[in-house]
Parts: sequence; C-alpha cells; structure tokens
Amino acid sequence: MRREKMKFLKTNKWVWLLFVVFLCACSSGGQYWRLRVEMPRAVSFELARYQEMLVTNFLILEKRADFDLNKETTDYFAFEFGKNVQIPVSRAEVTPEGEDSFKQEEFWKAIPTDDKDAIFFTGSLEYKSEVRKALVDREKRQFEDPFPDKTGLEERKFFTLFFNLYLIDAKTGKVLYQKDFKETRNYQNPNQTAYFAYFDLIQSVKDKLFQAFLGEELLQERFLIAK
Amino acid sequence: MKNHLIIWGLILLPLVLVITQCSSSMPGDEMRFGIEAAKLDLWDEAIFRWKKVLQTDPNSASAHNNLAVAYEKKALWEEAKKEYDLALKLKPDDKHINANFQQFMKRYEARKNEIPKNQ
Repeated sequence: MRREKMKFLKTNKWVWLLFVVFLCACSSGGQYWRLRVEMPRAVSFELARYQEMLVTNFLILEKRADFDLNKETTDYFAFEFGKNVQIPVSRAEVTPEGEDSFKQEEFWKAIPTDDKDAIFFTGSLEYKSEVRKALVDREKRQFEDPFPDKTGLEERKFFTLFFNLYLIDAKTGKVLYQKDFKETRNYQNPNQTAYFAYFDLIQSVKDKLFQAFLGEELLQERFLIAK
Repeated sequence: MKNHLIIWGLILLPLVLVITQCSSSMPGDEMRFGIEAAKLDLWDEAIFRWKKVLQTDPNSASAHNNLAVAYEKKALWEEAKKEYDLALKLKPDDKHINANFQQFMKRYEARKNEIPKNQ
C-alpha cells in the first residue's frame, strides 16, 4: 500500500508541483507600488476668492537717498502678481500713514473699489545696509562664516530688507493675512550697490510669498497598495 | 481508480479556486486599474475605481489608503485624513500605510498651524 502511494507521488510529481505553485500564487502577500507624487503644498491664503488685487504704496519706515524703495517695490509686486495670479492686479494710489493704518478698518473701507470684491496688498518697508569688518586669522572655523580663513582685515557689505506684509479686505477693512519678512545678504564686493542687492532680497521675499499664495507642488513619495 | 480520483481532484480544485477567484477578483481589478490610472496622473479615474472597490469591500485598508493618497494629491486635506484614519484602523501595523500617514501628517499639521492665523 505504502509502495503504491510512493509510486503515485513520484509519477504525478508535476501535478503536485503545479498545485504548490498555484497555492503560493494564491497566498502571495499584498503588493505595493512606490510612487513619486507632486503633492500640492498647503495654500495659506486663497487669492482666487477675490475679484481684484490692488497694490498700494508702502509705508517706508526709513527713506533712502539712493533709490525710491516704494516705487521699486510696488512696480515689482504689481508685475509679479499680474504675471502669476489669475485675478486682475492694479495699482491703488493710497499710502498708509503709519503702522496703525493697517489695523484701521475705516481707512481701508473709505477707498473706492468700484464695488468689486477687492483685496489690498500693502505693508511697511525698511531697507538697511552696513559694512562689517573683521580681523581674521588662520584658525580653522568650526561654523559657517562669511569671512574666509585668512589673516587680515576683511570687509563685507550686508543688506537687510524688513517687509511687513498685510492683505486687507477692501469691503470690511479687516486684515486677512499678515506676515513679516526679514531677508539679509552679504556681499564680498565693496562696491555692491543697495539697488542691486535690493532685487536679490525682494526676490527671496517673493519666492516665500508665492509659495504661500500659489501652493507650489512638492515632490513626495507615497505607497499605493494593490491587495 | 482511487488514484484517478485524487488526480482529478487536484486538477479540479485549482480550477474551482480560479473560477471563484475570478468572481471575487473584480475589486482587485478595480484596485489595479486605479493604480495604473494614478501612475498616469489620472487621479479622478483612480478615485472612481477605489471608491468602487470600497462599495464591494468597505473594509479594504488598501483602498482607503489609496484614496487618501489621491485626496492628498487633490489637496482635499480633511478627506485624506479621514481615509488614512480608516485605513489605519483596519490595518494599524501596515508599514506602507503608516509611512504614507506620517508624511501626510507633517504637511497636515504645518497647514493647520498656518491657516488659523490668517483666515
């Protein structure tokens, strides 16, 4: 009897093999796919809810003799927003009178907007430049330093832009979005002009701002599961 | 005679299993179709397919996970959170669902911290 069984197993080994393979296939675990997906970044403020954006003059906390900070900033943002957002962007000849103006609802409500659901893009600006000098020696620095590892007096030009941004609802005069930016850069070139450095700094502000408003995408990895 | 019966049994059993598998493999097909759609960036189609899977198998953690990823892609934050929660409730130890959820929560929390201040 046992011999017969053994003979049966031997002669039908291919049937058994197929059976085992089939069972393995049936009981195979969950399959997954690793996918790189461009996930939308969270949008902090939805501009699309408004019909128009009005870029006002900015409150300049410290006027500069070398260039018109207000004009350059309003021109820059009017152009950049006009290019990147889907709502119309125009200029409003309004100048905040002081830091308190941004929270005075009546001040903003009094500005005519042709009954449009408009939003004011406004804020205050301060732009500073300074020269920093340092005596450096050959000691190897353990941290990142704008001055190189060499002996002597080194000089760097530092430029800092303070930008306090407000988005204000034209109908209610309420502040809908507020963010403070502080951008600093240093230049080795002693002849670097404030005007040139300003565009480096305002571009950094713009990049951060547009990330919040336009919700740029972020490449992320996700698993999709089939079983 | 007995041997023949066993051989036929071994041949018929897989056949029966295949047939029964076919009738229950519809959700599996929808799931894979959804994944293929997602790979082609057709997320609406993928959502449609995975929702169909859930109609026949509401306890499919994979379908909930996949739907959550699709909702994330479509910036439907609350829907994505709900689907991840369901998927993890069904399979709390699944490493892939957990990996997805952790990545999602980083962005979800960052967004939650940002929005109440501004809107």
